[in-house]
Amino acid sequence: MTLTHYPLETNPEFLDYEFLSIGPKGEIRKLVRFTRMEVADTSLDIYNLAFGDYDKVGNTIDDDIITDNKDPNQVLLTVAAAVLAFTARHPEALVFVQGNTPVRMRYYTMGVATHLDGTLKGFDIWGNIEEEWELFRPNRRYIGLLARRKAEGV
Amino acid sequence: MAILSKKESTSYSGVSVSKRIKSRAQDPFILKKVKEAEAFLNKHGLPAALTR
Repeated sequence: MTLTHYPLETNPEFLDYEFLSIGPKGEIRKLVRFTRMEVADTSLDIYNLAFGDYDKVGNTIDDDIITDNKDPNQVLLTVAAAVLAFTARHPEALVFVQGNTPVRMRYYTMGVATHLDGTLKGFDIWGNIEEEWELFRPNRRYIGLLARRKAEGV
Repeated sequence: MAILSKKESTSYSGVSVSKRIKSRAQDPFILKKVKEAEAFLNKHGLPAALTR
């Protein structure tokens, strides 16, 4: 069975994305946001990827919630689709991802490994492990990930 | 929430563009995450391939 991502909506700046996770818990509104960061000693465009559930009480994003809507792969694929759309608009951008817990980080790492030869084939991806960066390899306990579209023609 | 609205949305790269999606740039959650991410990268630096 081929998995497809959820319908995804973004604003004209291509920085904020929303979609609905649909499962046994109902429709859960999910938000993704790319924010440019100030990092010392570089002029590269580096964006943080933040992702979580919409918290209507605080009108904010919450990444502590464990929804368990039985669709983790489809949710990850949709976040990957947001990365594709964002980097299509900002091809030079580096995208940084960090999970709020080791479990969440492992979830992201497994998602990248799953889509490495598919959706993410056109990306260079690095993982940070034991305070060092290396080219992404599956089954490693990374604490941060960086991704960038490969240059055209590579 | 209706994800797609023909009146308000246009399509780009398989993703719908809509002015209804508000910017979260000033969301406290986002600001906190960005601060943490900046601290991480300022501490660990960047992959060598990006600093050459």
